Amino acid sequence: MSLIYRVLPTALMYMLMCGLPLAATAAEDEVPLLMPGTKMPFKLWETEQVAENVYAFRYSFYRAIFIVTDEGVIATDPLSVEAAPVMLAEIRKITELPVKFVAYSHSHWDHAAGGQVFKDEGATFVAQQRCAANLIENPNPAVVTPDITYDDYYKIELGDQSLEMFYFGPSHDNCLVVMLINSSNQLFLTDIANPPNGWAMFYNPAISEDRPWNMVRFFTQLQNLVETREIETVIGGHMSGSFDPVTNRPTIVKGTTGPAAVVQQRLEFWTAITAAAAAELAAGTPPDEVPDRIVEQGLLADQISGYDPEKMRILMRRMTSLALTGE
Amino acid sequence: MMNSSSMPRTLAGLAVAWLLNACSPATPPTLPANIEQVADGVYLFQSGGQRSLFLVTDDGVIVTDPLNATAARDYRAAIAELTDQPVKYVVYSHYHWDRVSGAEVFTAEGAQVVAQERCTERFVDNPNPAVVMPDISFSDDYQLSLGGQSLDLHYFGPSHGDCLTVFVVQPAGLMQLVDLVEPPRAAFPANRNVPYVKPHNLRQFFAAAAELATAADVTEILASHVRFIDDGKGGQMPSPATAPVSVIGDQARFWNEIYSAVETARNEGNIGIDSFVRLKTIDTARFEPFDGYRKEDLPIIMRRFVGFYDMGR
Repeated sequence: MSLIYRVLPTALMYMLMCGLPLAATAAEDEVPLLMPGTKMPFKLWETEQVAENVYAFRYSFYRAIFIVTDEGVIATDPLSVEAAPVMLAEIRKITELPVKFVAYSHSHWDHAAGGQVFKDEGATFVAQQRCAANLIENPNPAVVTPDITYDDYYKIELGDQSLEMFYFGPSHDNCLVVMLINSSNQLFLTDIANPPNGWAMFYNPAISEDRPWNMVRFFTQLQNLVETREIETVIGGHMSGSFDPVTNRPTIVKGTTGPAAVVQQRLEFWTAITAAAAAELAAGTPPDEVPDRIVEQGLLADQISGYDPEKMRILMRRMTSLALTGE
Repeated sequence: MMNSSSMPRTLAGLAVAWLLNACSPATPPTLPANIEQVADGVYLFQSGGQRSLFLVTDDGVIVTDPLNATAARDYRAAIAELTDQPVKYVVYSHYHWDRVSGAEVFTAEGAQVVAQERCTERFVDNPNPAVVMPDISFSDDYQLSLGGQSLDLHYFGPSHGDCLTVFVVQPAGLMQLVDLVEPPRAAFPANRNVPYVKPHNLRQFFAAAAELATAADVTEILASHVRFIDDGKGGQMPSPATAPVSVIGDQARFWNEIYSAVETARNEGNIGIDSFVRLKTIDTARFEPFDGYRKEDLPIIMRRFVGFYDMGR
């Protein structure tokens, strides 16, 4: 199997979460972009309407949303210094009203950078308080510091629209929030689950940026939100990938939105890997042997899309550390 | 202060040390097998491959990481062999459960638990009934003084976990950087996933620790683990209790090589679509001098730093 076919499906299937440098970012519009390693055409950015007055803006593998109201625009992650001006231009095609709010989903630079173009037109930046602390601890001149911070919950209201933000404790990053668009009842999720499949292998199997010690609690609360608010649709903060069922070639999933079932699936994923590591240790398996033992048992091998034994070993080494140290 | 060359390194060495100690009026006549003396009134307790620092004074005992409930009972019993003084403080080096479980045996006799505030925060966020909550939390620096000795606590931001605290013992001039710097020499991380490393502050942490070592006239670095290392004669021996201060700079150099290799890989486009640095493009020679060198560990170690450069965390 050539490297590209080992690597690319992985990257696509795993929803290209977090920090993926896109090979073709510098390309000009007139140069046709291809999916890295393939001959598939690839638009560097696109804007899709996902509900009335609600839009998804994708730039490379990253996605943000913006909501158009009769008093201005509520935007989310500006993504990067390259993406944000494009997003602003896309917004201008829809409305002349200014961007009044920019809400950060979390503090990672690959989602939060580039907001200056919105700041310049007077936008107020909103972030969970631990995100603000992160940006003080490790500042980046390309990331606009928040004007408004909050703890567990915040609601942006503008004109006839509103966007709710919920913080359920550390998850991916220590300050990630989920966002609920009230008019369409759509949930915007970044980096923690992506439609259409909650069983996709983690893009980084070491889950280095995740806080696995709180993931089951996090997803339990998120699933509770899905149920109590009767949420049916999720918008993913990344472009999804899959395999072509006929050719088995990697392909982009045309689906910015997907069913909210990804939340329950991700909850089950985290619950299963957390329990498996703890159970092996409780049975007396030496920590160094836990990953091999779990791979031998075939844990979730038929369930995880893009299952790869080596990646599973890395993941289970992480989960074993968690069981021993609490981190 | 005891010279590091007289530190017990093997069981036989321990027996020799026991005999030497038996001849010295300044130290107790017998040292339990799980205790090493590293200076006047300064000891390391050993259990399950870990070492925990404690100070014995005429006004009470200061214990650091209790490790776990079973170890902590042995720990208490070993201290009782040295002194009748009560344990007054238990200081947590960081929040990892394998270091800080089991303090009840000390708090039951009235000891107060001390930890950096981010450790306390984590125990609230992710509680474990085996971990006793701190009584005293501090932000940057804190000093515990008893009977002419002090344990100085310094926090330099996230490094190994979010709240790791540097210990300095005075007047002995000893420093311990639990889980980050281990005698006898700089090494690859024990866990190649490097799940606890905080790249956004690790360089700053090491710079601050090295500066502190100079400012505080630190003479030796104390171990927090025991592992088997090459004895230079074809066999193995337990890793020593102490190392020269230069080990801090050497370990910092290891991490700096990782940062620099990842920066180079990014600049030269040697990172795959899966965000792993391609092994064949890594200049491995710069990593070979470090203990525990394993070429194939480099991409997974570096994966953590690729994420850092992309995300700032």
